[in-house]
Amino acid sequence: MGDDALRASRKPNNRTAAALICGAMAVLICFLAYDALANRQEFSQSDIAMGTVISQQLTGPDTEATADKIIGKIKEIEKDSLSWRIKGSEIYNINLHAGKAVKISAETAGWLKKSLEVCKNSGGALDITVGKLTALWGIGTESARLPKQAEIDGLLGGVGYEKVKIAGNDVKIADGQSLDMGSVGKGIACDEAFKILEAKKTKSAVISVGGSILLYGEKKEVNVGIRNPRGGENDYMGILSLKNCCVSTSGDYEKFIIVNGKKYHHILNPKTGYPSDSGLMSVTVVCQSGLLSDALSTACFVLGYEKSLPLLKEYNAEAVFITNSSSVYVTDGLAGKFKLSNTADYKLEATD
Amino acid sequence: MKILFKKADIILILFFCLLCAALLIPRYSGSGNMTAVIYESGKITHRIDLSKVSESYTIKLANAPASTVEVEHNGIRYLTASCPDKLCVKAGLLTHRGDTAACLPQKTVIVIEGGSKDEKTPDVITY
Repeated sequence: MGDDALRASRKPNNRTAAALICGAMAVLICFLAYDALANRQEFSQSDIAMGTVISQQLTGPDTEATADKIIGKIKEIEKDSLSWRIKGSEIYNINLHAGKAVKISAETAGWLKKSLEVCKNSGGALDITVGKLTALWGIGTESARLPKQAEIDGLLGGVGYEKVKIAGNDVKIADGQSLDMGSVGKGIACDEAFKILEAKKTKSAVISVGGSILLYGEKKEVNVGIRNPRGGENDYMGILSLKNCCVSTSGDYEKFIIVNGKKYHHILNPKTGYPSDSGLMSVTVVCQSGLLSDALSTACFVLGYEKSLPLLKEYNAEAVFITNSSSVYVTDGLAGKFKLSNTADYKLEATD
Repeated sequence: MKILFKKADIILILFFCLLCAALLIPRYSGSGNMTAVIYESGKITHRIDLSKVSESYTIKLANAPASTVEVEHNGIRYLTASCPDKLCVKAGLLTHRGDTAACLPQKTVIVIEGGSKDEKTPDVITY
């Protein structure tokens, strides 16, 4: 082949190669631009609802509108469905008409059924019918006080989840009963947030409803600090590395009163009417449902470490327990995901 | 010897490479300076770069019941509050990424964003 022929055959090859490289770079730039823009749409928001702080960190398209929708939904379920304090809410109406059937929304009926199932499976360690006792103690409110034994005895008879009857969307509680959804409300809010994030195609989100947390769509694990029960509000004792799950904690430090030097916290044992005394400072539960993680954390706090294990197994849930003696027990499913940070005050115990 | 690209092509390719790198910066860059964000009724009313605060000062938050916030170099706190339990003041000085204090009656929240992040610091706290 002569020089001219060689040149002629090379030229188109050079052009093809250059075109291919430029084309590949154009595709790469478009991809990176899209990826960068998609990731840049981060939005954080904090607000107050359900008597607690709601914090949201979202990534993906339309994040501000999604966060607004989530906080709107949380305020709506508090006002229209779950609050026993807000006049006109479904729970308020059920309590007001104790002894009579009250028609409620299918959504609230569903939450009640799920909550009652945990009440049953925990042997009454969780009981959403403690409303009158909660109001009597008033812990976390300005009217908090240590009630007299006779007052507690007078209300204990009204406690009993098994007396709640649900037929379709009709709910009837027994005379003298009162529902308190405080042990499941924040978890329900996490579940509702999940539905909105799915519908809005949000890329990832970390949503905290008063310390009940939804981790959504994360590719990387999120560091979830467990509050140090004997530390300040932002003090943590260990870190769980988790993704795509719900996390809830119940502890004796959140709301309490001190009378004659004795501390009375807000998690009542439905059987005694007094703050639970099962040997725990806190329990953190991890599972796939917000309602369940919230309900189970209360149930486990009342049951104590040993008695909680079968219940957690039943719901395929995992937990971190902190006992009054500062021992930390982590269930098998969280082994390797929990790291104790505060080794000075807490001791990680081996579990069998 | 024949070369595949001319000088202008190489300049163009280098430009595209730099563009790619620039587009990747937002994704892999650090979290920025430690910033205090104050929310009043869910809306951001103050965003303060705490690393640039040289002298401490106070801010009055308008929602009722009133409160005062003290801003200092790398820290922020509720200094006074007219709410009954004063849990916001008891939360103390916020100095780390993710630290949060709130006054529920006033519907205000202070959160620290940005600042250093590593495997040992939590992104969120369960309580």
